[in-house]
Amino acid sequence: MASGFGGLSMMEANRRLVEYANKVMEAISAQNGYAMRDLLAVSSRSSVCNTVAVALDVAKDATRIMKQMDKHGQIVDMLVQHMRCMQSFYHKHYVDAYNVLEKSANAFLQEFRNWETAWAMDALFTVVYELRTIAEMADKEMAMNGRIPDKLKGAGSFLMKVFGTLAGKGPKRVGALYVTCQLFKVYFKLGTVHLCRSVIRSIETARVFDFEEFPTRDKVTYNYYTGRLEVFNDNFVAADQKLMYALVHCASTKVENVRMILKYLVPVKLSLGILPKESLLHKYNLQEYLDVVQALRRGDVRLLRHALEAYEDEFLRSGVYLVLEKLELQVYQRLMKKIYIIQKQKDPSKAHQVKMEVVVKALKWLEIDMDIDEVECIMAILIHKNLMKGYFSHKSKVVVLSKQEPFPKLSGRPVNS
Amino acid sequence: MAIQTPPKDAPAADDPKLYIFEDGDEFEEFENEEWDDEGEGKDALQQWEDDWDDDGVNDDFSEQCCERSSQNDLIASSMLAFFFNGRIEFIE
Repeated sequence: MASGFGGLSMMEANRRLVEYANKVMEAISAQNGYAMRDLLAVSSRSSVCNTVAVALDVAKDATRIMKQMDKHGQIVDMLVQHMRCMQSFYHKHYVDAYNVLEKSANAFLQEFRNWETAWAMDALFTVVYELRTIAEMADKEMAMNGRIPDKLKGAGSFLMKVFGTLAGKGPKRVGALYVTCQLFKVYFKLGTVHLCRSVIRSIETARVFDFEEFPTRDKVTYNYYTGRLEVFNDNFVAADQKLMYALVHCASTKVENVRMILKYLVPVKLSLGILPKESLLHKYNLQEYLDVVQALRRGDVRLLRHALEAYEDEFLRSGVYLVLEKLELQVYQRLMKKIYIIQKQKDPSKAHQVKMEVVVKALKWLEIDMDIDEVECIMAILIHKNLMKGYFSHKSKVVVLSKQEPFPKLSGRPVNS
Repeated sequence: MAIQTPPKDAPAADDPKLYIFEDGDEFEEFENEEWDDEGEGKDALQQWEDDWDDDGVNDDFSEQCCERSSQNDLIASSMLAFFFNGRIEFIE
């Protein structure tokens, strides 16, 4: 008997491919979603994948033997492509793997549409996940070869098609949020976050969807990404709601995910005048915020600026730099409040009048050089933003504070814009 | 017909990162669809302070302030006390 390489004969190779195809057919007949899911996985490099890949290396092409099976039309087409995907992936040819995977996914989606129940949802999720994952690897391969990557973008388009399939009445709609989250991951990776809008609108306005029906896993992920979008758009109250939802419902074992939620939630909370406990920052390795929080507590403008400089790269990368920079105003508020408190303790009758030169002096101790006009500017902004109640006299260079609640607390409200 | 060399898609990528975006904060996939989130919920809600600046102005700066004579000096040393956490450094 002729031997292929690796000791595998042509006959044995064909047998293994047919065996794989039969397992898939059985899973479909039995409507066994979990079995189907496991048979379609690629990037996990399971033993199933390796077996198929090696067998296909020997058999060269599976079309002929697959056609002999022809029980389920589209599924045969799907399997021919899917096995090629496993083979290419095995040999680390990711662009090839992605291209055939998309063909496989197309065929699978058409069959999936015909199945009335949602039994194959997990299998669909696996296909979606593999599309995204392998597309990312394909893009890296393209870039290394001097080509402009476009596979992840293509995967995004395909995922929108999948979303469309699930966005209707019927049991399949409960899978729409998972696909949405996979789309978020694609768009965030590509930096095309504006594309999130249409799918968000579908989820939040379409009558077929009841948000509560979706699995916790997807609700948490959804709120994390939409929360981040609210942060980008400076909608701090909405960001707080969404990120808090994600935080409260996230599985505590997923420490990295909790940390990521907090990474965005902390600047949001600070913008709303709420401080995290220091223990929380230490527990989740968020040391970059320690000095920021301390600066707010102490009214220490220098410390805030120092923290922004020290962690500039990280803050810029995550997109929270501007949010943190704007906290300077609240730090000034705290500084003014402390001056007021000190004066109140010495002479309550005169406490509400603050000489601007005192503020200049305080800032000088903080190694911040500001003249009296610049200080006056800050006073004007604080009053304008309702962080300080009162008025100032330009002539006598004095701030006259309101006798009642001169420093309104934010307490969950954002600074007036 | 002259054979034309097809143009390259892009200039040679010295650094693949130029064409690859990253999201450093991509959420990890969850293993399960559901879990019991009762416990973590309550804990997460208690990590935030709204009343952190309700000042009794406790710290020991008040005592140190009273050691100085004039009004301006009192303010001056109080400020220093605040910023250096109670340790007074006298700057003349």
